[in-house]
Amino acid sequence: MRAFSDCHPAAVAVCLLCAALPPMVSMNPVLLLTALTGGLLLLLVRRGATGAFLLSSAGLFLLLAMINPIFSHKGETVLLVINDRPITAEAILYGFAASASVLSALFLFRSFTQIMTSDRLLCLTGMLSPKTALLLSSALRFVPLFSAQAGRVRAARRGMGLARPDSPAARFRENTAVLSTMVTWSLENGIVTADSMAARGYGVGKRTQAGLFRFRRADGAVILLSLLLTLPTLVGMMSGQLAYSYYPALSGIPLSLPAAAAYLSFGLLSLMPAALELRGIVKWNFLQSRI
Amino acid sequence: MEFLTVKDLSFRYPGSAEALSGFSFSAGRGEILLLCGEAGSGKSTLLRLLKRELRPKGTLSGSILFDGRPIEALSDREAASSVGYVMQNPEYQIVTDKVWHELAFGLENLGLPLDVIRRRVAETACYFGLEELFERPVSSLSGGQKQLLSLASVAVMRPSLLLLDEPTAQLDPISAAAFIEAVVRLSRELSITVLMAEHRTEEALPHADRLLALSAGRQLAFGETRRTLTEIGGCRGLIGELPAAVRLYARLGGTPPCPITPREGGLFLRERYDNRIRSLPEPPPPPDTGEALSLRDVFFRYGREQPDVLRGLTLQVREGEIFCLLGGNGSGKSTALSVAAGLLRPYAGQVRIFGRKLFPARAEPCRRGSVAMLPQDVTALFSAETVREELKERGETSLFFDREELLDRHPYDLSGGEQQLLALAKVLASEPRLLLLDEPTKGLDASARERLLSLLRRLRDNGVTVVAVTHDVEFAAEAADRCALLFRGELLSVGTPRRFFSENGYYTTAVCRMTRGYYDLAATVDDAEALCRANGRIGR
Repeated sequence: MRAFSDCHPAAVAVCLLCAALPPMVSMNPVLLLTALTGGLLLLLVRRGATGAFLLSSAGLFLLLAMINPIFSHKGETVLLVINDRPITAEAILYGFAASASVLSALFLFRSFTQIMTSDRLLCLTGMLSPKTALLLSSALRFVPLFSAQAGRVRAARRGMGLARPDSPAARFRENTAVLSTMVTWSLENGIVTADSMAARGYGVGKRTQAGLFRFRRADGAVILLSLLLTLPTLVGMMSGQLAYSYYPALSGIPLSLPAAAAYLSFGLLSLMPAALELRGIVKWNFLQSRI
Repeated sequence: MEFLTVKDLSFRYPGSAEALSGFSFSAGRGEILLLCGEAGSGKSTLLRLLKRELRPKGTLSGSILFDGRPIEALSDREAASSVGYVMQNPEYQIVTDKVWHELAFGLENLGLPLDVIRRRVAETACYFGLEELFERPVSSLSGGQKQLLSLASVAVMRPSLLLLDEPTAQLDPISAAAFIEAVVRLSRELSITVLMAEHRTEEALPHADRLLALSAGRQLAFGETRRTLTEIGGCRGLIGELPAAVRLYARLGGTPPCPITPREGGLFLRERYDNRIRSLPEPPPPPDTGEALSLRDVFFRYGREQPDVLRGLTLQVREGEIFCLLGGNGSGKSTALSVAAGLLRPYAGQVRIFGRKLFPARAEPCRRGSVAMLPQDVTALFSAETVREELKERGETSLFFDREELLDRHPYDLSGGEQQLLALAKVLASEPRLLLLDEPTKGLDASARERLLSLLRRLRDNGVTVVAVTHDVEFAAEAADRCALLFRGELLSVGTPRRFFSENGYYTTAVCRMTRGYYDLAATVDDAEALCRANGRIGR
């Protein structure tokens, strides 16, 4: 078994999506707390977060939580009154829940974008539509090419003896000229690229999409497990077993048998990426010590 | 049995005169056929007619037999995979962003199963030595590597015919030689028939089995290489494209066989010409004029964490001379030029232009029209729809652009040489006293080089100082008053081209290689010819 980030892109995507979905839909505090922990752990295990990022997320967490009670005055437990407006404990707690929901998604997507390099993203799009994948790939090639060329055009114009524009009007004229050069450049060289594509048989038949990633049994297992573990949570959310309300007063945390099953399975699901990643790292350290 | 047979091929673009007429030639399996002709002689059109997907619109007559069948009879898939086409520009013919994906692109188009794609991509990457680059983004490759990738991503489709349209025109000599080597290997080892159009044939001609010479849309000569060379020896437009040994042979009017490589050229001289006079009288050193450009202990790097590109570069260019700065890839040539143009600011050292500091402390570089630079990619200067508007952008129509008939064309429709002429005219509009050129001969044919050469001399005679950065040793030998070699950001040797190139052992012109140990201080074909004539034939 490899580390989580070495799994097939489809497995990574399904697993992270399954883990990110419930906290976005449900406001159940247990689910939210679990998701937040799972997301944070994955980031920490992968060393995907800098101190600055963690600090600013904590700031964001507090900020989002504080905003809600300023605007929402529902709830029974009034803590204090500012300008004749009650600040309630329920509103504060709801604010914290909403921040947890946002942050857990933020953490998971940060890991997702770090794991999904362009090759992986391409493999994933290729599974859905080979044409889109090619479009993505050529865009990934074209965008840096375009900006590099724009830099060269500016340098060439200054090298020609045109002064660096100093007034807004001059800057506008200069940028128009650069843009015009770049448009012609893109069109002309687009023709070359199109020729090169046609010369290699683009459009003669149905395309396949090659990728560097093989789908292994373990990847299938990750996908299957992710789907299975989402099921109880999904059922719980649909049937209302996991429902939790903050207003007017906090309802008790649901603790029926189906709810407990959902907590357990969602807990496993949330921890799975971090656990798999950690396992990979530990195993590697262990192997290395024996080499 | 020939593999490719072309008979009476003529072609006409819609609504215009015949672009090509009366082409009949053939190539055997695994042979290399070199197409040789000036820009606009119809090489590209001819190659495109042989590649169905890229065939221009127009009327075609005559027949093209591919392995005994008319090329029209091939299925789409066959036509795409069995005829490979590589173009001039390494940058834009690459479609995808990763090396492995570019290799797989053609096979994906054919809809092959993934296992087949994986295997073919893997073996091709091994054959071309691309394993190290396999997962790299294409943008991190050098021009030579990109062009090799383009060749590999065509070869991965297992073609039996390769069409190469000036594939090395944009490359430096080392990368160009590596590319030609890879092509030769494909033809010799895998029996792939190759049709290659080239301007600079020093590298390619020795490997060519047959030669097809074109001029103005007509077939001048075709046949076995050496025989064809003697046939076209007198043709002025073509001779400039041929290797130095062939040019010398043609000038001296020798008897066959015609030498091609520097080794054969050396033998040719030793067998036929005396060497009582070993060197030409050296021209007197130019009068000491002021300094146009001086760099002292200049250090530059692109980022704090990156290595120095210029390491204490010290260089003086005299007023009114043509100075060529030579060096390999990554030697810092272009960077040095950008520093001199005031585009990059060095972190240590001093740059003076006509005695004035270029980078006053904490201020914009002051140039005020005294310096102008022609970039490597001249199309970066074009922003208008016609040549006329292009010239207008810089004030009145320039004195240096004398091609009236081109004024209403789109800049992109000009040939490489004409584009460069236009760009130079734009650059010269500010009447610079110091002109900086970055790889001015890249992609030019022989006559465009000749025109550039005479233009530069005219500028010099008008008092303009020219500094050119180039890979092109032959150009430097002909154009420069002084040459210098840059290596790892340092200047290693400076001298007149004759001294400079005869003292270099490897980084030198073909004529120097030919005459080594026989004549001294001969760098160009002109030098060698003068020496031969002065000495006279052996036994007369």
